[in-house]
Amino acid sequence: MTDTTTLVRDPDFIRLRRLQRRYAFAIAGSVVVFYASLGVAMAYWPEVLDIRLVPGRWITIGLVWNVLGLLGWFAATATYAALSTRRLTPLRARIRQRHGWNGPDGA
Amino acid sequence: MGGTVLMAPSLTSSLTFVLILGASLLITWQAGRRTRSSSEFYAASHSIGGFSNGLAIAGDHLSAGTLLGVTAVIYTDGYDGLIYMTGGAVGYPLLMCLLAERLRNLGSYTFVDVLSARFRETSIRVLAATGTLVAAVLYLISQMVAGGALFEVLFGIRYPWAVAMVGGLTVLYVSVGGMLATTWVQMTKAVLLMMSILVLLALLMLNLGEGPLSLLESAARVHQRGEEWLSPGQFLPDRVSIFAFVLTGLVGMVGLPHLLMRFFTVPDARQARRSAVFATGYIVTFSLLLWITGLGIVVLLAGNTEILDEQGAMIGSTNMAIMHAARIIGGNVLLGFMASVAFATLLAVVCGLVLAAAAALAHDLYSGVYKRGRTDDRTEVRASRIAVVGLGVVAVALGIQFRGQNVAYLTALAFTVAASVNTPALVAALFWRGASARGLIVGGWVGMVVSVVLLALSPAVWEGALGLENAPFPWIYPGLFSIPAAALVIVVVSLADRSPAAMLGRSRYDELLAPSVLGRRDTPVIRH
Repeated sequence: MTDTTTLVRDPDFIRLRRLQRRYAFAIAGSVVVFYASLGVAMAYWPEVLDIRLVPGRWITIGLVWNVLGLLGWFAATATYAALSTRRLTPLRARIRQRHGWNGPDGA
Repeated sequence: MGGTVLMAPSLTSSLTFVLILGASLLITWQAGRRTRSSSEFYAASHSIGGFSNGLAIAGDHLSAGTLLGVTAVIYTDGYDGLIYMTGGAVGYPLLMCLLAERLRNLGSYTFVDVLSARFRETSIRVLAATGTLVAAVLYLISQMVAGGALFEVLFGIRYPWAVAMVGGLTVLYVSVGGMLATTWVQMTKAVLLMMSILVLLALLMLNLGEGPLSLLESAARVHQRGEEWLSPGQFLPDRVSIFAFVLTGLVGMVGLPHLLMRFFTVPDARQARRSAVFATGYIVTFSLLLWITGLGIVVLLAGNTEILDEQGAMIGSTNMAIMHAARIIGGNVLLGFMASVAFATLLAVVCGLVLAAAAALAHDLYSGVYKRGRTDDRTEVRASRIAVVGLGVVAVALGIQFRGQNVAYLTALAFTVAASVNTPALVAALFWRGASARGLIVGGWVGMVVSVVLLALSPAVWEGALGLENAPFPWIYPGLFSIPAAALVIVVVSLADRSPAAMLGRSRYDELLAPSVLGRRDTPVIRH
């Protein structure tokens, strides 16, 4: 059995990968769904989605949607970074120490 | 001298230009003293901090097209200007969640290194380096065309001279200072760009006496298209184009080589994450400020006949809307400052693109493929500097040749190629154990050929550039077809591939799992 094979079967490593995948795909997936909904709204705008949030004003749902999207991109990026640093870095450090995985990268 | 000139050279504009040029040359000279090895040349010795790299990424991302083009789209098409920016930034959360850490942990200088870490086949390097070159050169042409037109209108510099000036300065910055100079130029540009938009917006709101929400109402009231101006569908005329735009924006940004290259300049994965957070924060803030500024520009310029030529069109095209607004509210002082910022913006993006293309030529193709990795550091850096000079010459020649072409369309071409070649290959290599080199190669070339052929058959090239009638491909962007085609071929060919090389590629996936998550290892594993 190679060193890498031993490492990737470590329960902590399996947990680390599972959490990393969960965070990444949940956040990236939400972004994709939100963005796709914006595209659909734009494509079917006049027929289906010409809804005004406040009657008589110019703030259409599309504007709010876009602004929320832009702020959401930042929130998604910051959330993943925070989760990775706070939840995954200690786990990485433990695995690195246990398996003598000493390199300059990968914090 | 060119045709209509927006600004007579003044002391302020000249001084601002000299200051920016002087500062960037000083930066280059300083960086040049610290750029000897290939690690220094391509990746600034992996020494850039997260905040600085985030600023540089934002500087790399926000082109002159963003500053001028988005305000022009808002001016004419309203709502579509907002979706243009929302779509421009959507790639960052994906870049962060899927690639940033893995790129830093597995690669050295380019994303091709990451692909090569798993697949040793030379053809993979050739494909990915070609994808990089095509995307970077297309993007480069769009920037050169925009730069030449911009400086011709702003200062009356003849188009070929303006393009040559941008090309010459880029060659100087990148060949002498490498990634360090490019990073500093991009950071300086990012700071200047934010300052310029804050100053312009503050003066606009003071001048008009309105807040952001009332600007929205006023803009819709004074715009000739009225309420309809705030509805989508002007910039993108049909549903296929909308979905193609949405998909290409999402997938293309993740494969842009000059942005991916920035993630190799930081020391570790934590700084890569910080880079993405700062870059996204900056770009989102800038996008929102630019949109409000766009509304103010609509209100300010409504009914103003000073900005129109004899035919009733805006002097210098609607791309100059922001420059006209700057001149009206801040005179030649503000116009000179904004023009200098546009110049710095253009230079920063071009530097990033030239460096990425030079790395593809010298590091991936010359050293990795032609010399099979048997080059010393000095030779590779020398090859890179020669590549930078060559690319500078090519960029100037193509910039002159493509004069008058639609800049937004050229940029979309770059995104389409990146989305159809680079992203599917990178995602498959990093996330799918079953991917094989053969699948990536066949799928990548299919993506490249489909995107280029459909672009050639589209109305912009078929009717616009070639002057033919009835384009066989009726839509603007081919991403909706080329991206799924590439992905599908990668999956089908990989699944069918049972060769020994495919088996080796699958076993390499397991070997790379640990470094992709934990970072590189310096010393052998110690057993406990």
